[in-house]
Amino acid sequence: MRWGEVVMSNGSQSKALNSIKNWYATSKQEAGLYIALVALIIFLSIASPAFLNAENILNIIRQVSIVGIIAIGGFMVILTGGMDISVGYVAALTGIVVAKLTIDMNVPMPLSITAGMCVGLLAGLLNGTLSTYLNLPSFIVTLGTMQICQGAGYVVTQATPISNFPESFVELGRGYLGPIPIPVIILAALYIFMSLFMKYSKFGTYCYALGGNKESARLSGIRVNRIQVLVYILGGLFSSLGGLIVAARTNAGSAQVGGTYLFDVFTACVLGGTALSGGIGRLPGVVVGCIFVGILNNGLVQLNVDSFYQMMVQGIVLVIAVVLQSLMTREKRKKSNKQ
Amino acid sequence: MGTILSVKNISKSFPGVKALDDVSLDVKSGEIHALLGENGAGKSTFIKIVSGVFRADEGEIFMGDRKIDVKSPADAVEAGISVVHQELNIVPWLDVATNFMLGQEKTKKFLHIIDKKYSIQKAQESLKRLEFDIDVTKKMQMLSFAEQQMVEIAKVISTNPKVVILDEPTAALAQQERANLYQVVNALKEQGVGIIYITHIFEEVFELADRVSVLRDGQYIGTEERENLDEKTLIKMVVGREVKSVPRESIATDEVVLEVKDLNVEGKLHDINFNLKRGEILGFAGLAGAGRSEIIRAVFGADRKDSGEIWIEGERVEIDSPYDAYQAGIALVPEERKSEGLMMEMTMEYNNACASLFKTTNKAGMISYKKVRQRAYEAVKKFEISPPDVLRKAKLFSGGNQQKIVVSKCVSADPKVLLVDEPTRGVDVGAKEEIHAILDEMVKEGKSIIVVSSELLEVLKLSDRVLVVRDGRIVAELTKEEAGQEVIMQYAMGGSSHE
Repeated sequence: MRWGEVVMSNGSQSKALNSIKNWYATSKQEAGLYIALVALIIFLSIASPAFLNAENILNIIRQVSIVGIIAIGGFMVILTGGMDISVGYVAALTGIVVAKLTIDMNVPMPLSITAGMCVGLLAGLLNGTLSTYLNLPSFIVTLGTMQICQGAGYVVTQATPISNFPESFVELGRGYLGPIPIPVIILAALYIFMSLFMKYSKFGTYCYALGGNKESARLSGIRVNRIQVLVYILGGLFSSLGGLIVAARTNAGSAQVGGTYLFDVFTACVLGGTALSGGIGRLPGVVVGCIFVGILNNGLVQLNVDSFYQMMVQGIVLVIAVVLQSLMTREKRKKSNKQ
Repeated sequence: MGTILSVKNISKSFPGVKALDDVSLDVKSGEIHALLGENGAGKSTFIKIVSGVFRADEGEIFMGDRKIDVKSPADAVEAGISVVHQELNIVPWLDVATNFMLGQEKTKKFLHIIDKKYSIQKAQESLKRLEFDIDVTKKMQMLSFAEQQMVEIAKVISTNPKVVILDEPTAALAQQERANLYQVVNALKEQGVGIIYITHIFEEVFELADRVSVLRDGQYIGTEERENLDEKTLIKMVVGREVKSVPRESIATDEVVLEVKDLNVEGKLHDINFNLKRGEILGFAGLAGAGRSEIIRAVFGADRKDSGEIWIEGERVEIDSPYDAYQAGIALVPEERKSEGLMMEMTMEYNNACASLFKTTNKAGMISYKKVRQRAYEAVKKFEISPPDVLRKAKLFSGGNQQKIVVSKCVSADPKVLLVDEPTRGVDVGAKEEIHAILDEMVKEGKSIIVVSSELLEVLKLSDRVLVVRDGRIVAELTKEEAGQEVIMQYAMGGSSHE
């Protein structure tokens, strides 16, 4: 059961069929995403023989894990009715700070990782306090933070990636636990924990309340400002965590990686059914969105699509997703008007 | 004087409410026709239908002898009906002339560049005709509200309307500014324009109007020549005769639950002192904008206060936010249930639970969905919410049931003091009685309640004691026996209008 669930009572049908129908009625968009995902997989496995290759699949899920971790934070911010476009560059700057400290300045690993996470903490604090207490549009505030992080990244690296981490750190991005890559394990653990946390904790429930109607939430005695700032801080921390794994996997801190993540995270959230107006969305949907984005990006490479055309395809997918979302909410509105 | 506009047998329903029921009204050329009624009486629905914002379910509108079909605001303007709304349609960072011509600019052929000189000249002319002298190149935001309103009126008049509707034009004006406005309105009258003048203020009616019509609960009550009216008759027309409903039995004790001392909000509230006793329903009455809601919102921490102490059961509490208020045992049912009370896209059970999640958690601090649902069903039963579907989205319930959900949300946190702002606005008569019964039930359970309402009858029916608010001050404290519609109205409107 979840918030916003609609129950259709139809006694004559079997329970299982009913529950499928129920699920479809409430998660039309998610259902559409699953169908599109299956279609994409079938298409790619026919069009490109290398696609179903075990190595390629591992590659995809590793890539998905990084987008997925950053997307948790992005999702929470969108859910509360805000927007954080600084996620990608916060991730990049985190990698750079860790690389600079560890490789160039020989700072012990735990200390430099802590410093890296502080990037996310500070960015989140800045985004959160400015957009909450000064009531500034989050889009503008995070646009500023994004540019600050990007600039800082280039200043520290002088535009050349800082590489050669100690082996133990690289393991974080490239290693395996049994047959499963470590980033995937991290992602799975985080998703399970966060999904439950968003559903069963007061904090998670209040996030939905904030996105649903901030004023009403405030007058219900919910400390909306505190929650909103915390959400931005969590957004920053998840970005930093993603950034650590990117750095480990590429064995470098580089300023260039920031741009791609913003787009992927955003597309994954929208595809996964998160309403940009806030209040509606679920983490499981976001995971599937991430998987879709990951497979699409990988498939485009497998099919030898020119990288500039890849961007165009990605853009088209995002636009289609937003259009479908708006059509669906319009349909819902019509129905509820009739009632 | 011939009739220019006549509206015949207009009805309009919204889901759950009949906003207008068979209302007819006519306006003559060169007449000021005042339209009175309490909040929710249907005045604004009436204007919206005449000006093309809403379409009537039934009824006809005639201009002179010609029947007109007003499908949109543009149709209304075309037919010669213009409205000056309470909230002005201006762009503050553009200058007066540009605002004046907005939407009807004269442009040059080349690139449609606006003929600025013409705009300035046209604006100056029109304003001068109202004997209103102002530099039209000034930015709109540099003007006072009264001046901005003047510009808007001049703009409306420049389209040469036959009927002008003024929606509470003096609500935000000071005394001198009002006098200026009256002059302008009288000038329009001289020119033969028919004027529908909507107001709350009786003084204005006696100063300006030729005829007066009254709406109440969407019903047309009547039209009278001003000469045949005195204040008492008018009050009776507006608020209706005392409805025979079962009087509430008072169970108020002497024990003070809430005490407010020297509450001040700059520019809004001045030296507010009052107390609330256990088991009591305390009513706040006053005109719109007098500061009734502001008092309880400041007590609740929803709005900032500049000074003042709040004491709960003999202990001083600091309340700077609604969170603090809930901690201290105070809950608020806000005035606007759609924008402040409910999360419309979310389920009834979510709305019911969100102010009291601490009651639905298990030992580990996790939310128990079983408890959430159980409490929702309890609320449905207790408040007779219909349909009893706890998974239905809040927006799909009728107004009365939505209001019950808000009350149940607030009560579920088990407050000692319940503040209720407009308990039954936009709610139909049946649900109104039910909500009154719920409030009565609440005090029987040991809670204490403050009710703020723009409906005098409601305040009188519910309250054990009535405080009258005027210009941000408490001007009278009346016991149940002393309180009556006329007395309250006289205090609410000030000393000037006793005859």
